[in-house]
Amino acid sequence: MEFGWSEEELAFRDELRAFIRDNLPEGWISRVPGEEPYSETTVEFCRRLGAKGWLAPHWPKAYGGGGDASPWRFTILSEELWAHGEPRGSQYMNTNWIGPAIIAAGTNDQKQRFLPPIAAGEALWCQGFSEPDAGSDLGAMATTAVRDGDDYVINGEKVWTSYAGGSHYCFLLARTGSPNAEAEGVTIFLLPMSTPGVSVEPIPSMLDIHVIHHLRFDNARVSLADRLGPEGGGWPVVREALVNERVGAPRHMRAARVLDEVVQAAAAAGRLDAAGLRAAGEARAVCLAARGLVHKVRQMSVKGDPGAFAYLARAAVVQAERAVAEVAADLAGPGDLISGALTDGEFRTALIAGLGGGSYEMQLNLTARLWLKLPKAA
Amino acid sequence: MDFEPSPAQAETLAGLDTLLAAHGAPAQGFDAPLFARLRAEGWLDLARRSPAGALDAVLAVERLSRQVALTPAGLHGLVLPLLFEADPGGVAVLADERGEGPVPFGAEAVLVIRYEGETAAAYRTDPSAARAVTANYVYPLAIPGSPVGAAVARAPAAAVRRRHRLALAAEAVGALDGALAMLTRYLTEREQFGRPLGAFQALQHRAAELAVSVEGARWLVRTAAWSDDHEDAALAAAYAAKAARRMAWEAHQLHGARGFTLAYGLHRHTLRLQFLSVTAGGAGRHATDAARLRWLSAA
Repeated sequence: MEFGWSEEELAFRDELRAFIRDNLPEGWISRVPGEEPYSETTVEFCRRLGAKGWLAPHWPKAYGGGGDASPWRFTILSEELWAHGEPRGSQYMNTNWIGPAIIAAGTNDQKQRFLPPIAAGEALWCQGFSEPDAGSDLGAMATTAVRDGDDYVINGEKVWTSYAGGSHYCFLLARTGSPNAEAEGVTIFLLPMSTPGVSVEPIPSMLDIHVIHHLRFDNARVSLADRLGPEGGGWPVVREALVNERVGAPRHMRAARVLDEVVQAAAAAGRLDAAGLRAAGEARAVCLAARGLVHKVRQMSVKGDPGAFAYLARAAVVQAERAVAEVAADLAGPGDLISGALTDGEFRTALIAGLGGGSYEMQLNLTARLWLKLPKAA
Repeated sequence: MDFEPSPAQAETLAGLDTLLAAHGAPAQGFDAPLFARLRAEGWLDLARRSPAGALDAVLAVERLSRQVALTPAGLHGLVLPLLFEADPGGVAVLADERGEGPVPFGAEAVLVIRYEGETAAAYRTDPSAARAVTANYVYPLAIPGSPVGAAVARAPAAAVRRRHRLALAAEAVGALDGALAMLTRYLTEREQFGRPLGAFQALQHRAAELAVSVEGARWLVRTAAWSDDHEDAALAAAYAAKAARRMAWEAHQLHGARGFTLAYGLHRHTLRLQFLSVTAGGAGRHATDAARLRWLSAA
């Protein structure tokens, strides 16, 4: 047991910070992460990351990755990018779990078609999971895919989909089995968003620039070649992918950075009293606790399935974001709720943290059942 | 970066388990025979053996605390190496900041460490001059005797505070483990309304949040022991103190009246947690110090 970074890891972090300084507009930290998934700034930043081999250092070289066996380079990348406001837009998701799911379950043809563009920063994806009547209860999804020759015909709708407006592909879950089969009979499709019969509509929300969408599928035809994994075998692939998703967004690093900024601003403005100082120290502890737990999950993932610990760590990450948002609000000055201000963005970001990638309550359910081994709730 | 114990660390911890198993049931007060064995077998010297020895000492303190081993192993394992190159023998205690309150094992102390501005100084003291107090927090508490003669050792106060925080947090993690294990078993076995308490989602969420805070405290104190950094130690102590307080409330609330009985034994963890949560100024002082170190020290 040791918690040091190697010389090489430290040098990489420095190099990355310099790159971010040179390539990212100032003030990015005050944005809600993912708010400009397809702006020229985000896309160009990702292309440059891709050119350095820094989008997917943890993927095999054959698919455009860096071939890293160690989890730490990718961890450092995610940490530094989140600490600067996550300028990858939707593309953190591509390299964090969509690509790994394709690596795990894809055909050779799919790997060749989909992975190199992701590693190069040329592909934009969204995920089609939630539906009007299937949120946390994903097994209740009703979108159907019916086989017709070499195609499947998709009908149904997906909601709350981030990034859909500019995406090239959707990582789509649809039901190929009976509606009562719950998780059995769920199949994954790598659906081109240009497919006829797919429509995308923004849903007006209070999240400002972070846009969520309503997707409708009206007899949209997707080729057999774009089915990921076997028919009806999507669930294990999704479960594995979601382990990466749970800890893939080190929100605690962004939160810790926001905390630094709001504390320093409050100190400069003479608003940092004893209660604020104490609360800020406590919030920083919550951020670092989340960081330690996520690091542990990263190491466990390399050796196999981190299992229940990933849910526990995710709950800690949400707590970190919430703790910082609380301090930011307590220390807020007169202009701090103006759109674009750090405290305004932190409030909205913390609201998303407890829901995006699975609700906080679901993490607690799973921690209770799988980590503490408590009986299944009635 | 490696969260798994090294072969050497695993062997060390297995050795400690063997020692504890051979020692049998923990004593109700100061466990002098166990402390003597820990001393004789070198368990108080872990932090003296290697530059990263504070982490090994923290792992040992966690393990001892989980067994409710009532010894000053935390202070001896983590703080004394700052003052003494070799084990000075006897029992040492750390006086509180004002040097006047009761401390664990105060009645045994032949050495008392006192904060004096920027330094901490160790003095000889006479255990027969110690004054016991009536306090029911499992640790045997007493106001140690006054310093006798000149200081026999000195160290920077900040370093003593740092290592003391590691010791407190590691001790808390062991007690958190003990309390959470009892709570989990109780929620699994105790049935009401025809099902185990642990099947009620309202209680599951509370237990799960406790689990998050126990693991958070564990890895914070371990990483803080590795860095042996002032701010990290203060953050770990702040988080552990809050986790300790919360566990004291929640473990009792979820246990019902059973948790109050001496025969059941939950109090052996929760009363220690309450004590640890107020020691050295508690979460407020730890968090405020950490915040000053991070944001105000350059100012």
